[in-house]
Amino acid sequence: MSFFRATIFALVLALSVFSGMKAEATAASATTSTPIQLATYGSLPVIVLNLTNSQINFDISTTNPTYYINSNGWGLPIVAGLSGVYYPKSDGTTTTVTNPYNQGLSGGANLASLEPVSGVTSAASQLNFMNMFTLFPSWTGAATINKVQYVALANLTNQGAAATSYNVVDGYPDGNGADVWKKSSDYTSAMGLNAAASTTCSINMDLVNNNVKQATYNININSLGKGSPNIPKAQTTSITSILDSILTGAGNVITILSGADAFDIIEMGVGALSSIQGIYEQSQIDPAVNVPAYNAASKGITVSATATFHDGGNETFSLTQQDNDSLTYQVVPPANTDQNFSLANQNSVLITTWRQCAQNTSVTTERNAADLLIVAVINEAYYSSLQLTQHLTQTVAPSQQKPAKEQVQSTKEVLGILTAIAKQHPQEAQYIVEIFGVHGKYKEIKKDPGALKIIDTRLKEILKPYKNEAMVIEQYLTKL
Amino acid sequence: MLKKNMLLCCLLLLIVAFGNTTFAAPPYASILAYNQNNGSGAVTNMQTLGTLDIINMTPWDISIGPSANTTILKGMTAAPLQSFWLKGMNTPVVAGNNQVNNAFAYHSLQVPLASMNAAWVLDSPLNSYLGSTSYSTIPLVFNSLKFWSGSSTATNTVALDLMVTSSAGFASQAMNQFPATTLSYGDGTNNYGWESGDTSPNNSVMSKGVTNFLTIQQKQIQGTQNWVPITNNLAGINVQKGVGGTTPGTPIQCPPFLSVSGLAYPNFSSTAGVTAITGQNYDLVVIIQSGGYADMQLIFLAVPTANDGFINAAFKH
Repeated sequence: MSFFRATIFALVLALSVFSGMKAEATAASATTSTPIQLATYGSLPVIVLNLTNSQINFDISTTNPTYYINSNGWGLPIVAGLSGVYYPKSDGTTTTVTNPYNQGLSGGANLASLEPVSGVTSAASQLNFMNMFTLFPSWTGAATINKVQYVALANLTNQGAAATSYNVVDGYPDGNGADVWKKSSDYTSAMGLNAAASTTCSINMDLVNNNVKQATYNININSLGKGSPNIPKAQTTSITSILDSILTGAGNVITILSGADAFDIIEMGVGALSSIQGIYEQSQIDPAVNVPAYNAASKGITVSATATFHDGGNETFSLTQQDNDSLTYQVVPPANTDQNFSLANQNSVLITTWRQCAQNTSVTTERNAADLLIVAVINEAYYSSLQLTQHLTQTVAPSQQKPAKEQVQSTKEVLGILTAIAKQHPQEAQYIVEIFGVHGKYKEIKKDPGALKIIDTRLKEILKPYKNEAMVIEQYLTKL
Repeated sequence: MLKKNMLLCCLLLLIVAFGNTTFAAPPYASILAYNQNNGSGAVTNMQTLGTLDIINMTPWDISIGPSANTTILKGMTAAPLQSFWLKGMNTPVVAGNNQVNNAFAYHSLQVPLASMNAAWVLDSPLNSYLGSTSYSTIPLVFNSLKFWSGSSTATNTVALDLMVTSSAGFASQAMNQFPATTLSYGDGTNNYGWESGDTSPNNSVMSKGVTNFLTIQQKQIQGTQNWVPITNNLAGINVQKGVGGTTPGTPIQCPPFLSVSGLAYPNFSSTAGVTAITGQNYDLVVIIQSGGYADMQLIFLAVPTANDGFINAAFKH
């Protein structure tokens, strides 16, 4: 059985073009008027993907660390999952989250939190470009439970939560429930979790090339605290196009795994990609816009993003799409691209959430799945190479599917050429990104023979000098 | 005569043996999920939202309920809920089942709850409490799509009981106002609990006192390994010296948070024969939690055995 959509993408090797300049950080934020709204309160499942040719290290932070740390120093975890269990330090941040493929080794050894997707070159490769975990983002000042006595019990039998028969071994500050009304020395107080106040928990993702931090993308989960509004239905949703971009960015991995005997690869990364594929297919049939509004006694939880740049490239962080379910941010290079701006740093950050009624399990529409937050960082050059290779291949042989190994090699070569073009003719590289990138027009243009002809004319001139450097380019130019 | 003496001797031995036996409850973790009375009568301790989230972030399939097509947690849910299963995250499909869909919907469920202004009428009444009190028990079976009825003898599964307890006045009826003792957590040998005046009507005033609890308790293990409480590393524990009971001075484990707790089954991936990443072992961690402006939640996690901060403090990051 094929779990994945048939694609003709290939894998790319990362070749970072790096200026070597140390630069001061510049912060950028793009405000949203319609941030993502979540309807799951208390924990948040997350899948995060690195669809770039750079490493990403990330940690988790909270603006309210005191509510997670008790007097003993340890308290509530803020994230748990395939990488272990993480608690915020006094400054609100965790240590760097280790790669799921690198457990049992202190500090995560040599793997970044998320390795580049370009490292997946065969079915034997580790899927170490993604992670799954659960956040506990919302805790603030605790609720109080009064007049509490703690007891140690022996000979216990219980019915539900009720201790029915038992002996009290000892109690603190008193073991006799009758005394709980008497004097304050006979009782103490305890706490309940509470999300009444506002707080922000962030996934802080550092893009790294050659061990140097280039940019930081902060995915901010804003718990707004107590209130009284409802969470409205999404009036529009872009989840289908968001997930299409993510699946395209992971297309090479999907192709490799589809070519292998999929039943031999039973692990979380495969399942996560398949879940995203399934959500994509489901979103086309039954969009999230049909999910009823969630009535909450809370102002809700929203998701947005900010960025800080460390490469001196004068880029900006632009919000290009927003609705209740999805957000897309784009790193926009400076207008004068003769500046030292690396294609490896030109990324898009895609964030989406999905919840849906479980199909065929209830006649009511009240039941829903919990939110799943999907975060993907996609490199424009890497993505463009996948799409450009598809275009070149389909121009040469429209009906032929290349084996996975040849696809990997082709896109590796194409990315290398695109990187070389960026060094010598940055405007031409940006033209390719404008057509074939995450925000490019290729998906629409490829249905229009007239528009394709215009692109082919331009590509012919751009790619001619590189005819001998990639078989697929030679074949494409010959065909034209 | 000799036969009679031998029989008597055996009986005496049995009496001695059982007389010295301490019966410990199987490992458990229990939380206060909602309490309507904060001691002043009308205000809740936690403004818990009326939803139960059940979320599976593990590679293991989880069956919830005793058998297929059985109504469960009747009285607790706003609409009828039948036994269901949640797929593990490893694979998207179950061959031959055309109801499966790949969306995350089959890894989690949000269950709207009945009103919390009155105690839920669950299926097992408890008669010794001041207010109407009852509970329900449903099995959770891990690494199975067949429910407890189809998996109870399978050697690659383990199970917990999920118990929901709901009371309109969780106080000992015989003593009128004294709070009833509720579970905290236990490891199969050491058992801890707590009681609070907030769970019982305030003095002679029959004010509101609806209190709901969620409890998970060991139902099935493999070999001799028990489920392990993780309370120590989940919100922490304060240890205090006891002051009254059969053994005064005993160290008492006092979790500061009463609304979050959990159990873990170490290295479940080896028992199940299913892992999240090839070559790595994982503990199965089950967390129950509830909070103000938060849902009640039952969360299933896979945490690497070599790096599980829930069980071993050395692995806290």
